Amino acid sequence: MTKESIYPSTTADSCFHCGEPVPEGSLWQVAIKGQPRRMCCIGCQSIAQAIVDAGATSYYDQRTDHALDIKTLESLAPWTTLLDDPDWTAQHVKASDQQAQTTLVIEGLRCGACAWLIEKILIQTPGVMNARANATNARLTVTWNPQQTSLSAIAERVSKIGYALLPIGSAPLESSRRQSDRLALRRLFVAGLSSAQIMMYAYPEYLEGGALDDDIRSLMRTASMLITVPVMVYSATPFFESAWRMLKQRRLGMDVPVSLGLWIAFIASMWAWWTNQGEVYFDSVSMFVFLLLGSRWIEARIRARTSAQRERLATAIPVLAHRIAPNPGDVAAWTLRPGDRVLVKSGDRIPADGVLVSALTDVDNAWLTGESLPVPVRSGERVNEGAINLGPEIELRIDTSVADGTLSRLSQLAEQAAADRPDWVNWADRLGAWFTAGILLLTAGLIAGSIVMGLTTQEWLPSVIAVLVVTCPCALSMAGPAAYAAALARLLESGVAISSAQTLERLTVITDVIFDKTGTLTEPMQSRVVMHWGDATLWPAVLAIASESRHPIAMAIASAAQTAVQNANPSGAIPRVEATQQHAGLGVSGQIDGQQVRLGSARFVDPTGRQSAHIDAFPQCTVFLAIDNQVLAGFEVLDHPRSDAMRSIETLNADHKTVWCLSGDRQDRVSHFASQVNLSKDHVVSEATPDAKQAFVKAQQAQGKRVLMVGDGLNDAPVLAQADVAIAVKSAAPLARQKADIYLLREGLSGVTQSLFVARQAKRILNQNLAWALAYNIIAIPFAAAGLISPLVASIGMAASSLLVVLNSSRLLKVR
Amino acid sequence: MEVLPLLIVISLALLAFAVWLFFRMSDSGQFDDVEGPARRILMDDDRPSGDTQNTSKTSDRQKG
Repeated sequence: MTKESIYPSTTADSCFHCGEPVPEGSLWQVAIKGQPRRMCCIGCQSIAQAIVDAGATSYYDQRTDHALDIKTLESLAPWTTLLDDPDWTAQHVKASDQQAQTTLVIEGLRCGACAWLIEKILIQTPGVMNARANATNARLTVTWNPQQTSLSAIAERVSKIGYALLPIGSAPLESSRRQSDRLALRRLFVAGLSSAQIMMYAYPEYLEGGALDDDIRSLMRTASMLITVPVMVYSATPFFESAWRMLKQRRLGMDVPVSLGLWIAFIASMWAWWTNQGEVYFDSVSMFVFLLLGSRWIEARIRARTSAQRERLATAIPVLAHRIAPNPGDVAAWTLRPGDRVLVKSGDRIPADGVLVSALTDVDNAWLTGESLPVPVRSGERVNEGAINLGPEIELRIDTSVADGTLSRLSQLAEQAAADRPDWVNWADRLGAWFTAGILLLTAGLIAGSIVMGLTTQEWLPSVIAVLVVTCPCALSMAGPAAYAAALARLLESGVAISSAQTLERLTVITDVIFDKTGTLTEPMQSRVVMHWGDATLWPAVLAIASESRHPIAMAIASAAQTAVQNANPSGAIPRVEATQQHAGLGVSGQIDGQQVRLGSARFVDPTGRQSAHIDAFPQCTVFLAIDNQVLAGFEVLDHPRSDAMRSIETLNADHKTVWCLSGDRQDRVSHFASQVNLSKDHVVSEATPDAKQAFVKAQQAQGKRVLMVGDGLNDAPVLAQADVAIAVKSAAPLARQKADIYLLREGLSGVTQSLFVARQAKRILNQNLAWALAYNIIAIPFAAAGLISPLVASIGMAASSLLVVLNSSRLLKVR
Repeated sequence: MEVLPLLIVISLALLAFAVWLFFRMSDSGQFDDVEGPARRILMDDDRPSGDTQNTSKTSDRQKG
């Protein structure tokens, strides 16, 4: 293997391993096959080095996509702890003294090269007896000797080469899915083999026509009949079952005429075979079943790809809880046991069902009930896992164990989301039903007309079968869902998770894209924080109060404070904050040693404006600290634009989208930032409160514009809810994520341009499919009705047409 | 043409055998992964290759 890898394309400024942009001035690199390759961080460097050291560099030649980025990998680390959980192990690991086996989900597996790499590394690991990675459904089946190694050690080894091993959501679901996959393939095989064989038997009759010996002809027909029976009773059952379900629900789907056509053709052939008179259509029946099953099988594979991705996405939501008793610390949610006490910050998810210990709070239950109004909860009342805490920080006493409940609920969610369908799919479905009704009426008319005109059964039967078989409502009923599934799979692969099916459609009409500045276009964790007045003894208090907030600026201040505290006095105690309150768009407040502490905007720390002279003396400061209403310190936060901010804005501009930037920040800072990322000054709105942001979006919508809002913070929740489509970036607050239609799973903004692009492609492919279906049917039906198309040709035509739309939809998986 | 009935019986038996064989293979999980094996065959073990293990934090500014 000396040839360079063609895929994926690696440019000079993107990481050779994961494809993320390489930060400016970064010096990380690894020699791969003698070539120095740039890496974006120490994580990718050590992974790439581990791959080189294991002698597995051909992974880089063969892979078709970049590897998982480090941040995603790290966010999945808590899941590994579940693999050591005794309850989980008891249920999921088949173990004896010498040997244990289990199946896990591999996150980050993108192609066959990944599967090979994982197997290779594991087989080199002492104690691992066997490892099989399945590239189709991203599962790893591993057998190990429990006396030599453990499952978490195996997971650790795999994480060293850049993959995460996650528990499977539901084992019974998994095995039933495998059974149905195998059944589908068997049905396809039986139908395929039978139709090939029947062609052999039918060939002499086509060739010789009437010249064929009667004995030989009936021998051939008997053989054909014997092979067609299994096709009808085994291979074709999915069509009959689906048609029957449809009829019972008083609906019409494409399987109704398909089943009708199959049965009419089969019964007529049986009659002809028995009486030895007239035509047999055994060849048409098997061929039709085979080709149609084939296109369904391809569709099912696209769908499986989506649902496997969805399931991994569901497990990818990191579920950490802050436990205060017993054994205080951040722990994975499923290790919580009844009786444990946890703290839940404002805006965070409740990690497990429990009883409220604190006095009072409000929760958002939309995740569970769809109800978006806050629900008040009093001390002693229950709150459910997954609800979002809208009030102050609360204390909970856990009352149920969560390990298995959480996982099964997550996979249920994944199933639900995949079952959700966009309007255009539903619309195509309804059209398909009407179309089917039309076909059935046409067939009935054809039979009635033929009888009135005195034609014999032999004369009208072929055209009736041909009409039933040739019609193809599949582009309406089948290609819509196929295109949607392919688009979802494609988006998930580039780290874009869509919460509702309607989103994809709304994305196609977007005219304006609005970005929040802080945390969305900038990387606040990277911002430099400077304290402009106040003395160094304040840093511990700053660290304590800033750690209470998830606002990105607060996190940047917390990290600056952490450094300052560590430099000054590494062993110093950090004061404890009580009665924390988050004030959207303003700041955070709390009590330290009985003193009221506020960290936030000037308006927030000094509501009366009495100390404004002092504050105004430092115009560069945006965040202030006040203790007991005395403003004691000011902080300057220097924005750090995201590495791909400029590129994304340029792409959107080139795409004729109007790009805006909304910020709560001061005007000079916002305009300075705008010039950094090439954004026009007229498209920048500064000093906007959450209400003002929402009003701005409303005003744009009133002008007939369709707005896509990209945001991250707690204070973006109202504006995200107002926008036509809302995107929450990777590090967004849980509440912002919940209000958003799209959630980016990877760091950066490339998901924004990706989702717009894929949505447009999906719409285009759907339109192509509809146009094809229309043209095909308009031409084929009259010919079939006139008896100009034989049932065999009709069945090939119909199946080829459905194959065409499914394959066309599957192109979506590949678009770049 | 007397041989024809025999040939047809043989072809039916072969067909039944093929189906039986396929079902057995499918039970063994051979078709559960249809992508991996096709790629696996292309991968070669390159442990003795000339890769030197020189991770370095050196400057990468050849392009200037």
